[in-house]
Amino acid sequence: MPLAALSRLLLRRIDARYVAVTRMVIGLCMLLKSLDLPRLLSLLLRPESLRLPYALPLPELPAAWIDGFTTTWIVLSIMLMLGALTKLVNLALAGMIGYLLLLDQQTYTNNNYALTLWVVLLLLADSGAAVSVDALLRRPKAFIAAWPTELLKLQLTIVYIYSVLAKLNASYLSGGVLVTYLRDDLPPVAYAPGVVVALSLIGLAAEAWLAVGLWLPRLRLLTALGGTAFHITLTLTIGPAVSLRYLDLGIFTLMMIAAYIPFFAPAAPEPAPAPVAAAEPA
Amino acid sequence: MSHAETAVPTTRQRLLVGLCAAFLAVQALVPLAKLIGPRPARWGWQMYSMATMAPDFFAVSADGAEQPLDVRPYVASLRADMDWAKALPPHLCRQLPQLAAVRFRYADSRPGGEHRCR
Repeated sequence: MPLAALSRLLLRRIDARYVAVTRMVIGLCMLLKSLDLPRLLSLLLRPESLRLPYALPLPELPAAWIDGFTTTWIVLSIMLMLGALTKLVNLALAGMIGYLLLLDQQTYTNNNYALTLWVVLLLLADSGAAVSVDALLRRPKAFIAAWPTELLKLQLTIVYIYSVLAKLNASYLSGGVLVTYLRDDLPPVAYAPGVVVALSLIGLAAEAWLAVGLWLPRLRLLTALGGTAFHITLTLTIGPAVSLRYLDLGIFTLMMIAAYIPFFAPAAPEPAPAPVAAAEPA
Repeated sequence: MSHAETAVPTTRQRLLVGLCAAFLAVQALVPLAKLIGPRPARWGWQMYSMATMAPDFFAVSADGAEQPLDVRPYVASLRADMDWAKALPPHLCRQLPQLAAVRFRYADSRPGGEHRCR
């Protein structure tokens, strides 16, 4: 994207209510994430578990603090949804999910990485400016700086583009990957070689379309609805059929929806140009 | 031409756009680099693009007998994007001092191996 076009996109102001809805959905994602947090931390912090820290190791959370960490996470997630002390709460949540992501190589998931980016970009947006407890106590703002949510939109596009590029390999295109991940209790026809190849190609085309279609105003709503249906379908068909997998893919679906919402935010009206003074007679 | 197009950005706005462009460059280039190396890779948005599995591990006792080893008690998450063959056997030897060696084999065509405990 040329720098001038990027500059125009980033320096706009947009309707704060749409960013507020994004904030609520991301808060819900964080709340749902807390359901698996004690299990993951307990497994990692067992004395017998392998530790694989990154080059710059973070201090380890004492195992006795897992419940307190989780409770704090839950309370902050609810506060983010409500927009209470939004900036402070958002900062704390960004720190907590960033800590989880970077604590150990085993806590990495694409889900955790995306959610960390989403929470950090939300922190940079004035997401408590409208439809929030903060806005009830102060004067709400109609429009806020667009650049953090524009970055979120561009980040979403990057995710889809690389998801497509990574799938351009023989194993995926032959249906071999999908058949490995499909739930094992679907109707038998779902595992037929031709069907699996067709479903793999449909998935690839859907992600490629989502990278483009959300940027086209006339096709935006259709694309967002299609994208939502696509992610819900993945959540219901990728296995094994256990609640944890539903939770992970369900959170990913909500994260994608949270990033779709700013595509619909109207921009603030541009200020009228200053009137040109009438030329003085010579 | 609209007012926004004709307005000259301030230094602060130029700095902001520059920082955003740098962020996007990192976000675009890191996954690009990850396409070149072994897959699936972390930080690369390579969800469900490969069906790579972690290897199966086997405990080898001093008399050479081999038994399947359930490694789940010793890891937090058996992710496919980790090099478990390198990372896990030394840890298993420390946790299970009665072992003479740890062997690993992949379900696909990748070669397996053995790590001697002492």
